[in-house]
Amino acid sequence: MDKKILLKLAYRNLMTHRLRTLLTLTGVIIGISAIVFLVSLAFGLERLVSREITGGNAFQLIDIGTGNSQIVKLDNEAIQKIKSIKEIKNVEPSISIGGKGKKTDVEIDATIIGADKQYLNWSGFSPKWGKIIDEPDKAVINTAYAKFLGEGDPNKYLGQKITLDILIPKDYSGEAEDRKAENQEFLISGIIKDETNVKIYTDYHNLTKLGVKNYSQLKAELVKPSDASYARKAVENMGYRTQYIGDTVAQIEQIFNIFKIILASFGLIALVVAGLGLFNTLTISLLERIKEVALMKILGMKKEDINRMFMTEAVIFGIFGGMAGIIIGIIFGIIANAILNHFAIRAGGDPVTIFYFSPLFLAGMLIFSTLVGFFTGFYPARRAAKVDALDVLRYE
Amino acid sequence: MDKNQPIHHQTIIRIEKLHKKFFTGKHLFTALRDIDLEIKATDFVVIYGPSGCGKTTLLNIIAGIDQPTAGEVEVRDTEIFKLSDDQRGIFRSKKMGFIHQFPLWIKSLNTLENIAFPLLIEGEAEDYALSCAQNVMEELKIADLAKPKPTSLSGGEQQRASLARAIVTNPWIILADEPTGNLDSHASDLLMKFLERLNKKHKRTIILVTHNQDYWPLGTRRIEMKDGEIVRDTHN
Ligand SMILES: Nc1ncnc2c1ncn2[C@@H]1O[C@H](COP(=O)(O)OP(=O)(O)O)[C@@H](O)[C@H]1O
Ligand SMILES: [Mg+2]
Repeated sequence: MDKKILLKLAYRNLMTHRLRTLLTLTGVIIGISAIVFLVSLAFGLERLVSREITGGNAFQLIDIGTGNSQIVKLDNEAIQKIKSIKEIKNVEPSISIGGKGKKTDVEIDATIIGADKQYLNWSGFSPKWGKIIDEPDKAVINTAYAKFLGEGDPNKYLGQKITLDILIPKDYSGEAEDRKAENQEFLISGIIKDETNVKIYTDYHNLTKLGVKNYSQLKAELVKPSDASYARKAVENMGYRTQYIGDTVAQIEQIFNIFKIILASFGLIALVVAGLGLFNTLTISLLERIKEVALMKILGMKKEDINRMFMTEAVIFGIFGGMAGIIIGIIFGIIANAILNHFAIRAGGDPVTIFYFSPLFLAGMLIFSTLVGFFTGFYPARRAAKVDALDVLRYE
Repeated sequence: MDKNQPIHHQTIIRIEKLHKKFFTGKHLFTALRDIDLEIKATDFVVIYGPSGCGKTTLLNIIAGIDQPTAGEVEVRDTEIFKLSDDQRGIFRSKKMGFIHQFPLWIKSLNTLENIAFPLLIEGEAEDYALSCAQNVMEELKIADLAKPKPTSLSGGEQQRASLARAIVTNPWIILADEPTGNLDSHASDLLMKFLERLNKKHKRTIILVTHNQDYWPLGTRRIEMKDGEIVRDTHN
């Protein structure tokens, strides 16, 4: 029989029982949209978290430190040695030391971070106001320091002068005693949003000029991410400690995969219920039409075609339930995100995207939903194909 | 020559040593006993006999809907029980039309589509099937009943639509099992008139089961059954 006719028959039958069709479809839609909603939430959170940690190039960078070792030092010589490792393309240092920010008669403890633009970019560092400027006399402050400077819009401090006392510890300078470099002046070029504790960022050359010889940390850029373990070994053989954020990201992914499975299971429960509803509908539909099926058989319709006719109905539920479920899941996700952001912005936060609708996942869901229809229809369709026409007609 | 057109005076149905037994609980019930029967292409066979004597069982076996316990049924050189279920279904759909006492319909289709259905089963295109159905409906004077659902028609109209569905594939044989059992005399007469015309004008083989003696003279041949056996076989 022509597939078009089978499709038409299935469609006609579904339309003669509109309410039942709609209710059954709603079940499938709820199941699929629940899965889409929950798993897209997991996807979104995962992206949010891994972006937050990495700034996007997690797999390209290795962090290098000394651990607690007093023997190995992170100085220019170390940078040269590490740069010579062939899996490593580039190395940038950073210095993190203590100091004080000064305002007329008040002082505040501050962490002073020396790093150049490249390093800050790698760290996913981006000022909310102004920008990073690679000039010796420039500095980027955080909002915690802006608060110390005064109330109001931090914007107004851009271009203003700040005065710092910088502590040069002896294990950074190699000198006999700790030393204080007083009244160092910088111009604010950018402000980052960070309320935790006071931090001031400036080019590390400003600190080396003051006698700092050792760095706190290095970031090494890999030629390619797959080299990470070789590069780390090479660096660790020199006595340094390494950290690869790729590991953390992989761990996060693992945790989120479990999270996704848990959330999908919740949705799956809804889908199982919907599947039972679909099974029930198809079975009732068969029992209701058992005389029609007997008639079709007497008229000479092949078992295979009868099977296909019922399978078509089941798969229609799967495909349309899947499509509508995906669309509704996305709509609910967008609405939930908007509501969340509404409150987040009201509370002074930034808008975030906590739902991510992965096209691959959505396509997978459509296939999955179609398969649900297929497998749910399997038994009723086979039963329909096996109907004994005479048995049915005898009970007229 | 139209290959659907049977050659006149040739045997179209040959039944040999046909037995049909049913298991009813523990007992074996013989519904048909040693039936030998040859039906010619030009025959209009009227079958009658008391209720339960095996008329419906015989028709069902001829149509290949029911299986014999023993014996052979040949329809124009085809031993129909040597075919697979699906093959027999196709054979039936092409070569035979069936009218039941209570017509059955596909409820989601209108009358025209129901009548076209046997052609759709054979894989014909929808447009062609519908136009054939339309023609048959015109022939049976029910063209104006195409749109409504068949279940909304009167008994007589339903039986004529049922006949239309039986002949839409242009079959050799039309089997009618007490088709007028539920009709008033006017509707019955009309249906019988069409059956007679199918036999006389269109040269179709008709096998009709009826209790109504008024219609016995329509047949070219009259078969009386009793307790699963043919007890009388007279040619008019
Ligand atoms: N599937 C069946 N199982 C058991 N007995 C059956 C079955 N079908 C028919 N019969 C019996 O076979 C006999 C003949 O039935 P049937 O051919 O319907 O008779 P008729 O059509 O002449 O009234 C009846 O006694 C009936 O009860
Ligand atoms: Mg009967």
